[in-house]
Amino acid sequence: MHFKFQQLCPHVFQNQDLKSAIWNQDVEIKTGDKVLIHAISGTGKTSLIHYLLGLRHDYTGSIHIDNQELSRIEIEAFTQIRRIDISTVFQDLQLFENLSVKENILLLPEFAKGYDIEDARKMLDVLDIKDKWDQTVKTLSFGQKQRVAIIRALMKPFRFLICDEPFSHLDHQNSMKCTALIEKRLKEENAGMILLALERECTFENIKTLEL
Amino acid sequence: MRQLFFKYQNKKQLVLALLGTFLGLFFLFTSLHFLHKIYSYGENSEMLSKNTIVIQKKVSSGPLLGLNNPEFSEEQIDEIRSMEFVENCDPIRSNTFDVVLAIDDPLIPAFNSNIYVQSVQKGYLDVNTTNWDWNEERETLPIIMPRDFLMMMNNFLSASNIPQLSDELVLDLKIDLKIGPRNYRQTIHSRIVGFTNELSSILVPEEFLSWANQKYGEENKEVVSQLVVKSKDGQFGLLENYLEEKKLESKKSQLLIAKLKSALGVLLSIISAISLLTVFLSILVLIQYLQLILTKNDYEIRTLLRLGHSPKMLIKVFMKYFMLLFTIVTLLSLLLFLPAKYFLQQVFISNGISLDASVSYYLYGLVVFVFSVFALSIWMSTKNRILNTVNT
Repeated sequence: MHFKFQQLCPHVFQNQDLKSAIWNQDVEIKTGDKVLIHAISGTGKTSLIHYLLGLRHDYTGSIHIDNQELSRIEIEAFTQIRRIDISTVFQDLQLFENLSVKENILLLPEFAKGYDIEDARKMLDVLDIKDKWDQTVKTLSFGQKQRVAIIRALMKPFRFLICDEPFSHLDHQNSMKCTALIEKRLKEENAGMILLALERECTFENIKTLEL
Repeated sequence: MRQLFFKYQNKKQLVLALLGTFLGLFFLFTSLHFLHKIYSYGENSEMLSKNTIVIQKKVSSGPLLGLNNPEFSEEQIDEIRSMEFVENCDPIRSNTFDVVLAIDDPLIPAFNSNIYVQSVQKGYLDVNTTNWDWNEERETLPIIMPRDFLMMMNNFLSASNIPQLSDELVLDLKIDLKIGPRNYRQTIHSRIVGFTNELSSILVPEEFLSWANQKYGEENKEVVSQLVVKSKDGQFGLLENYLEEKKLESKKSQLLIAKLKSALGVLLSIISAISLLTVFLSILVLIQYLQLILTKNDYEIRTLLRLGHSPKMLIKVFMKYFMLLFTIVTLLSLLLFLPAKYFLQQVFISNGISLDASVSYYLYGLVVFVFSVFALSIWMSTKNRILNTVNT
């Protein structure tokens, strides 16, 4: 799976003189690539994620997913992409606050090949939140929720993992544990990753940085 | 997923809407069923053909004074036959021998009564002619019962605290006609094949009456005091005017039934309309509740779509939930309708109106219609909402 951006530019930036490695450029992110998109606030980081997930179309230029123009992909086909090809850790986490950690993970439409609900429990153990398994999400701290969101994203099949500031509320030790878990899953799925972050420093190895 | 969408919602509005649907459907089922039954009342059980009436001379004190003879002469019959609006006219023949009707059936107490029997030509009857034949070899005699007789019997049963008889039950009664002089009566096993509102006597096939009159009757006793007249199509009014002019009369029961059907029909139509309105208003409230649930679950729906759940699958969850509730409410309404139908049926029977006991087929059509409207409304509302959420 690969992404191709051609002269992509959000409508709101059209009249601005932008210096970016993505906006108004021709960029390709190939299968298995690990890319850190470094962005300061207000440069369209969340917009880019929404464009990639087909949630918004307020841009000029084009985005291609596997040579298919994104805006022309039918709803059901895009559902399949969200189900199998792309997994996302959202900045606002998008967890179901009234449900338990276990129920949140059970609501995935599909588990990765060879994975079942017990593997999620093991991941929770790795990230030191095993005891939160049956607790409702609303009772967790933001850092704990962030780890649950990462586990949920890793539990499903994907060819590209998109993470929007996944470690913003994690300490260095937990960030390293999460990084190791993500690296392991990327290898298993032979998948690529797009990581969006406010800082340039990154816990991942062999990652290409693009400035937004 | 059902827990995610519905567990934490306030169910007050839902319960009220379901209660409204339940009551609306119950009244709709009941009123529509009886509306249909009332309108079709008498259509199949009346054995005299369309446009056929029984006429007689108006009763006055004349005969007592020897001034007015209730019998019809051959000339009078020919005159009626010659009228251009009359298709057929024939005398109604009566028995000239004694007849006792005996009912010996476990359904009702033993019953004996002196009666009289009459016969009209086959052409005036809406009865399968093969069922209406009789000869000495036949085991049972087909008879047509006056509805007045059934009403009288039901009044008697009601007064004795015995369940009343519907048309269907009466058709199965074991009835004997005992004919001839008291000392050597012959028993004829009989079977009711239908009812009539036009005559107060029991109708028997002509062959039987001829045979019995000849065998047991008194010569020269047969008189013609009633005629059966069939008017041409669309000329019934002219016949009625003629009857008025000639001081002849027909039995008014048909007119009474028509008035009864009309009055009950209007009443039931109003109830049906109000019930239908109630059902649609309740469905509207249910759809509003669905919209509320969809709005409250906007975040959940959006997240599930982002995780890769298909819009179709989410639509199905809402459809299943609401259709299940609607099915339960419909079944409960039907369950309540059945005893209510039975109760009202008994009330009608006690008033001499024996309606067909089967459930009106309109009801099945109505259930399919209401279900389709509801399913379509739920599907459209959910689909529009969820598809609008896909790209947000």
